[in-house]
Amino acid sequence: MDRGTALNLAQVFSFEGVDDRRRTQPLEETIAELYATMRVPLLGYAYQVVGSTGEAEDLVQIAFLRLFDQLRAHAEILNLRSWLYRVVHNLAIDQLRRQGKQESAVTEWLAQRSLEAHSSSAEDDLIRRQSIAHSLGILNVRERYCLVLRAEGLSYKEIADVLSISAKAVSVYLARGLKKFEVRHAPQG
Amino acid sequence: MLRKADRASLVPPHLSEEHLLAFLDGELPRAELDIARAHVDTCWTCRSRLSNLLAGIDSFLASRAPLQPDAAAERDQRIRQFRERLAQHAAEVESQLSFGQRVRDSWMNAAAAIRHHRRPALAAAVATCLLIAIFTDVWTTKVSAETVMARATQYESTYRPKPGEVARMALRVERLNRRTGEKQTLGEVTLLHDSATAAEFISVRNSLGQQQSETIPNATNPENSIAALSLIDATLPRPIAAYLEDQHWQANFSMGAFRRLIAARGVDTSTAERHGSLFALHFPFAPGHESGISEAQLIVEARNYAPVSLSLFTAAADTFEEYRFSRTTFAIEPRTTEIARLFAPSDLVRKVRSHAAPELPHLTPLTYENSQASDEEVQIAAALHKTDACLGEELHIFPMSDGTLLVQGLVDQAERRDAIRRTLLSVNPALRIQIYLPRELKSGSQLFRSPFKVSEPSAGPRSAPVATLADLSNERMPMYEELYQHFSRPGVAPDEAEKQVNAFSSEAVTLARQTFLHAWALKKLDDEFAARRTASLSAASLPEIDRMRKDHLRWIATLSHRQSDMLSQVMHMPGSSQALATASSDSEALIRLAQEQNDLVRSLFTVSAAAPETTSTLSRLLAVLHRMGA
Repeated sequence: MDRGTALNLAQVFSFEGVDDRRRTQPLEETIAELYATMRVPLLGYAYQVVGSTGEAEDLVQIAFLRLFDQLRAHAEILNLRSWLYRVVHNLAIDQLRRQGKQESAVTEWLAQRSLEAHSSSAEDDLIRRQSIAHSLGILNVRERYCLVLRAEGLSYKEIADVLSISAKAVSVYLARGLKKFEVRHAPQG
Repeated sequence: MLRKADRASLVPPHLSEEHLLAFLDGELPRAELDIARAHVDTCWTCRSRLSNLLAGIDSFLASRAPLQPDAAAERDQRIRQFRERLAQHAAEVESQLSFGQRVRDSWMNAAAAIRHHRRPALAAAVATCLLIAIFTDVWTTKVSAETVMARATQYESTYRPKPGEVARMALRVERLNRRTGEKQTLGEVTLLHDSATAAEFISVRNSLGQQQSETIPNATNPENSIAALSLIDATLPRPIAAYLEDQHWQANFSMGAFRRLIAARGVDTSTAERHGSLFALHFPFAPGHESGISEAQLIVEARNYAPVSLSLFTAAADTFEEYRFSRTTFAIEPRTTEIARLFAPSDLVRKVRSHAAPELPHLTPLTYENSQASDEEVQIAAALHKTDACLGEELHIFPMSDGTLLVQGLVDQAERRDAIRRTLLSVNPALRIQIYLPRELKSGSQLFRSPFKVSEPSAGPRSAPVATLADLSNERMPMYEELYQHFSRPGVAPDEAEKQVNAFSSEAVTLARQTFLHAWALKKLDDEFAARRTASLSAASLPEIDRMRKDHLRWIATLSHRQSDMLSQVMHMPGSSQALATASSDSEALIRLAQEQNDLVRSLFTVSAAAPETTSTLSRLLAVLHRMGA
């Protein structure tokens, strides 16, 4: 990961931080900086929802254009990170609906990809990969979104904000989702 | 032989899957965290489950690794592309904004910049002034607003209905918040313009579904006052509505009406610009114009000068609102007998009204100082009192300028609102009630300022954060040790004692808050029905007010007693030397005491930055409680 951008996070995650910066530089510049910092994690999430790199790139950019509009209108955003994830999430879901795709279809596709992606051919590795792909395939979409967001380092509360569910529900989805992985791998691990 | 309960506490239950994960994730509240840690330390089963969970996390992350898009490769290229896209987007947004909005925006940005770079800003300002002076006449070479308006007038005469036809126009009235982009439809107006007579039929429906229609015998006479429009006017800010009325503006998109609208704006500059297929005409109003309008903007089609929309922008300190009248349909229709009847010359001032649509003149709330309480106000206060809506709920009874009453405010839940509404309507079925849920409030401007001078309790009772040990915090409340010692008797499990501590402290906090709310309600009652307002009340009303007061006083006494009892149960306090202090029933004194006990209780039983010295704080609290409860 890029160390330089990681250092910036603390500075840019607070709304005040962004608000302060815009006093000293054009808003476009602040947004572009934020984009450079947040692009990779948001892209990772968007890709997990829509299953296409090109579309994911576009969605993330649209989210930042929305952010520009919001800040330009002097609207206040309490938690910038969960706001961005939420906008990306909603854009991604809208995109899937427009294309008539099921969210769960993406899950299966990702599971398939996860299986094919490895180039190693060791026998035990193959078994392990098959079982991981299987686990990924049987996750339901909510569990998958929660797990991916948690893996990106969001707190339960932030995940709850992104998915518009309660923090309690987040902890249930996470536990249930991990269980599916754990059952299949615990004996081997 | 062990009893069942004892056996249960000897073998604490295993942690649930969610608990284990939340424990790993650092998402457990402090109290639960201690319990969970203690359990995991002693329980092999749960520790093994923890490592399973960790293995699950490992394999989930492993499943993700190959699914990460290769983002790093084209990072710089993507960022460059995004910058271009953003610049283009910014330019588009800029061109769509109204003149007024742009001025305000650039002013806000400039003001911020000026604070940072005072000198260069001054130089830039001087240079700008010079440039403006030099190039001003360049601007006038553009198409002028006057030219566009003259052509739009021609459009009007071309599209006049021929004999045997009528012109139908519908327009939508919306309020747009320029800051948040929120849009709210205020109403719809339908106009039928006759060809055989000079009459016009107008039908107005507002967002509440109220409808009113009217026939204006001579639509060309600007002196007509159109009562139906008051439905729309009532949804506009008062100064704007008053201004529109003064100018005899009609919502019919005629250039005549528009000229009247901009006639008294105090300046005579105007600009016109073309955006694609549209012309936008900007008519700024004088700064600080009494109507509160900062700019009127007319949009017409560049192709044929047909009106598209008319917007009024406000520029109050905190609201950037736009009131937009958009023409949604325009059609020439045959003049059927049914339609002709609407223009019937008989009964010239006929008003077709739907079921008792109340006329909504411009109403303002009166203050308690310049109004008298009525018997109805007492009855409504009593009804609110009965539903406990007087306790910290932000509901107020507003005496209005037309002598009626309005109950307005905020509640948390829709069911609560229904219950309050039902009770109020049983007192007076025609009472105006505007109770909102927080999410329904588009802006603060929908609510009138409370007539009650004392500031509200910091939050409604249900939303009040009762911060006890269960909160996410590493701190402990000041009374923790004392309470814990009190509750941890032999045979009581540590987590059981902890639960009791929590229950005790949250009850103490709740009681204190309830006490405060009653004192607050009492003060509010005394303000609302102060002696100078109650002179004209009937004989039945005064005892009713007194009954409500006594109710609150009784509650304050009961709650304070209960608090004192609770405290003395667990504390060994020396007998209070202030026990002789006399109880007070003066609401002014009571609310101060109630505020103090609420603060004291919160400082003792909730986690806060400042930890008070417990013994003296407790004895002060008991003294205060005693004064309230005696």
